[in-house]
Amino acid sequence: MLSHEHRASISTGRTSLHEWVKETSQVMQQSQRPIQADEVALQMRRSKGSYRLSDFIIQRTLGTGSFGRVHLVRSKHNLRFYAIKVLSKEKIVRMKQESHTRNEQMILQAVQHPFIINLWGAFQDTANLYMVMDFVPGGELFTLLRRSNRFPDPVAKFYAAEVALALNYLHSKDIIYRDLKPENILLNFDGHIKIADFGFAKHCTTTVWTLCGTPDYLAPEIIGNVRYNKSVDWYALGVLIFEMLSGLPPFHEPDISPVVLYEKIAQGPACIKWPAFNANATDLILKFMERDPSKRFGNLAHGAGDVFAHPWFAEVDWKKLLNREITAPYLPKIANDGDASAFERYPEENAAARYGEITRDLYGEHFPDFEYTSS
Amino acid sequence: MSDMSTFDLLVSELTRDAQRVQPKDALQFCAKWFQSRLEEQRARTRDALARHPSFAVALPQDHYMDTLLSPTAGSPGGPTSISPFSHSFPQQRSSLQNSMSNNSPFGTLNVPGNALLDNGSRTLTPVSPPSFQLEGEDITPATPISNPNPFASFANGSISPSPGEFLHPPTATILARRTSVSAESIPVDSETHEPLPVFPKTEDQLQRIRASIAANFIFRDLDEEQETGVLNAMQECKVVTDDVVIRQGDVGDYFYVVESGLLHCYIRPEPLPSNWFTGNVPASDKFNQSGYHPVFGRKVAECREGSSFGELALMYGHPRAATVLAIEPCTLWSLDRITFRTIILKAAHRRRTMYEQFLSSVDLLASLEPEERSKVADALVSRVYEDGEAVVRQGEMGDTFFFVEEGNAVVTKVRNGGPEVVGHLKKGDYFGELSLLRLEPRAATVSAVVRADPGAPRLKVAALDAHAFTRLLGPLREIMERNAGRSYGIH
Repeated sequence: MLSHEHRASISTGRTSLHEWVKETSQVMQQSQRPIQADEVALQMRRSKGSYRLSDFIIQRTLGTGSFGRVHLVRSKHNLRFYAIKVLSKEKIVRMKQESHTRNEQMILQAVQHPFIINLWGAFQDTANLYMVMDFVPGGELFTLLRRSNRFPDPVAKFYAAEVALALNYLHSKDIIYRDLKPENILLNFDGHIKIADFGFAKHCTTTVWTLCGTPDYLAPEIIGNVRYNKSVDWYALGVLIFEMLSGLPPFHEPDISPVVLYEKIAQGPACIKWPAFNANATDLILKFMERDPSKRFGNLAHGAGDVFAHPWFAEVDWKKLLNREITAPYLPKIANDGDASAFERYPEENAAARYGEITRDLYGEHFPDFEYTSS
Repeated sequence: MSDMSTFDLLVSELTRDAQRVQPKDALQFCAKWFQSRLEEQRARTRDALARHPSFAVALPQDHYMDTLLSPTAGSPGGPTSISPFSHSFPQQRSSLQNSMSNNSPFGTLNVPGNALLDNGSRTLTPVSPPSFQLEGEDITPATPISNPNPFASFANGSISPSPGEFLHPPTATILARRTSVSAESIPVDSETHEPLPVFPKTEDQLQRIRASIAANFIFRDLDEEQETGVLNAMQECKVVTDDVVIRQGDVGDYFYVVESGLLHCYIRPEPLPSNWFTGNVPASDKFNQSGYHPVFGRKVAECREGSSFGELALMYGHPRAATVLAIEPCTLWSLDRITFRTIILKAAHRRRTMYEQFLSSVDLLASLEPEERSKVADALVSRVYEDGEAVVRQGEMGDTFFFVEEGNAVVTKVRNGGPEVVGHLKKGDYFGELSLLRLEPRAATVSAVVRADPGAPRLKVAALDAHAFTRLLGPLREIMERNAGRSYGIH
């Protein structure tokens, strides 16, 4: 699975960063070069499986959102556990989120990376869309962070480094992620991350415009209603590092109203009382949270190279990290394959009982990439 | 795959994993790998047996519990078949991690639930609990002992460490997951010819609206075209006493400016009562304190002429935080989100296309790839100049490169003791491009013409800072050499 990304080599010591960055970018250039049209540009990395509701036993709810739920399911065929995201077609159309949903499926289908969740397939019936994905048992980084109050510098560094690798991969395929936050970073059984929820991801070679994301993590240019590019993901990484190190995002205030929050984001980090972080961490966060994209780290001439070479990441062996040869600072306790105790409980409301009911289907043509299967 | 025997399958998977991991001790790696597979297989079949009766039936929804494996004895028969639906990447148990020797620089997170802390055979040293200083005082977070049940649901407040242990007490807001927001996608292409709404207003009215929105962060960075579009699109809306302009909890789509009249804003604590959106609120849910509206709750603000409310609706749809009620007949100006964003986007798109066209016309930048050109377009900054104002002066060191976006400029040189007009610049013309290559004194002065017709547009230029260019793309010289190298087949 990883042979696309690196050449196999036995490294006894740390690979020189400069060589590694060069190697990685060469390998990425040699692999697919993005073409113009969105749909064609994202080439399929693996053949789609064909799935239907009756292949699975639906178990508990792992998470809820505006358009539906994520369920823990079990395959009747191989007994393994997966997660299925169920989205109500009617709600998506009503909230005008069709293109976001199409993007999510298209992009997940086309990416493959150790730190990004796998989409096994997608199908629809008369009422809902279904996306079959990995079940990532360790729960959300959000839960771990809140339970820990905040992370020590090395722990925050581990997660930040893995996110940086994932972002670099996505950007190299001209994908903006647009929803980085601890809630969307899942922890695998081995403690390494899996970024999930690609609802706002989009293929883009230059700039985009739609306002989307999570308020605490919105870059100033998104709030300012101007065109923006991939550098908003690096801004969000700066916010994430701050939140991991202090326990809360930079502009947080009790009961803050969104308008006041956005005023603060527009003003920038200068208006924050800065906790005493490690000096290198502070430096990197400020370089990510730079309001002027032409000065923001990750967006300059050397791109992600600047990030990987920053002093805060000095002790990180990027190659080993990508190969998951480094022990994570936290290993979730998992009793068995389907143990979902790391996820919060949500009222089931008997939602799953209605899946597969035949209803009037008004929106089938809106989602051509989701195969129609009868239950 | 079905042709291969189980043995061949195992060996090929082992080989693939070994190649990926490159273990230092191959024999130990293989031993642990097989052991882990065996454990997995046993667990899976035990599980399947335990659940067999309810195989085809979905488990009861509201009473689902994560049950632990029952320690049943006896091992079953052969391995469960791996159908085409299964993914081939093996789940490695944590025991396998031991075989990968590495010194993790990231330490161990000292928090309950961390499987790393339980296993005494691991020799990882836990990092001490995170602590740092704020305003000179050492603040330590809650120690693990004070947190009895790591997986208890936070929302019902079952955890109670003492307040001093947190920078911010874990209120429900902090512990709640944050939801994403999103505006609607608005298709933008040059072919959309739908005209934007224009509702004519007097100069007076325009001035008042302008004053109301000036301080609002949403309108602060609008350019002239966008501001004009927004002012034109605001629609007059009259309400009578007791009209509910905005209802708390409704999804907001409109922004309002008060032209005349008086409104009050009220907030009632969530959750909102039943029948809130449809019918009458039952008497038991009504307030009777002073400063409270019986239905809408506590009065929090008054809105008079010149004030505005509901601006968040211009960014994305969200439930309104307050109710706004007309106290007397009012005249309001309203603007909806889709119209607002369409206006902004159209103008931004038009300008962006113009910038990319400008940049394509500059010979010096011919070697730029389209993505690079786009990055440069991002960095262009628009500036307006008054009549006669100088954009650059002869002799000054120049580090900026300009396009004329609109209006006219005149180029003058000091010769024989006085300034002489040597040229004119109009839309699309550029100057100062050499500053991208090297810093040099300007050869001439460029200033905005004194307009004969005050109605004509003032000089507007799009400026690019040479330092920004180099930050974003590296030195221009190298880009040009890259292309030169290509055409001579050097790379």
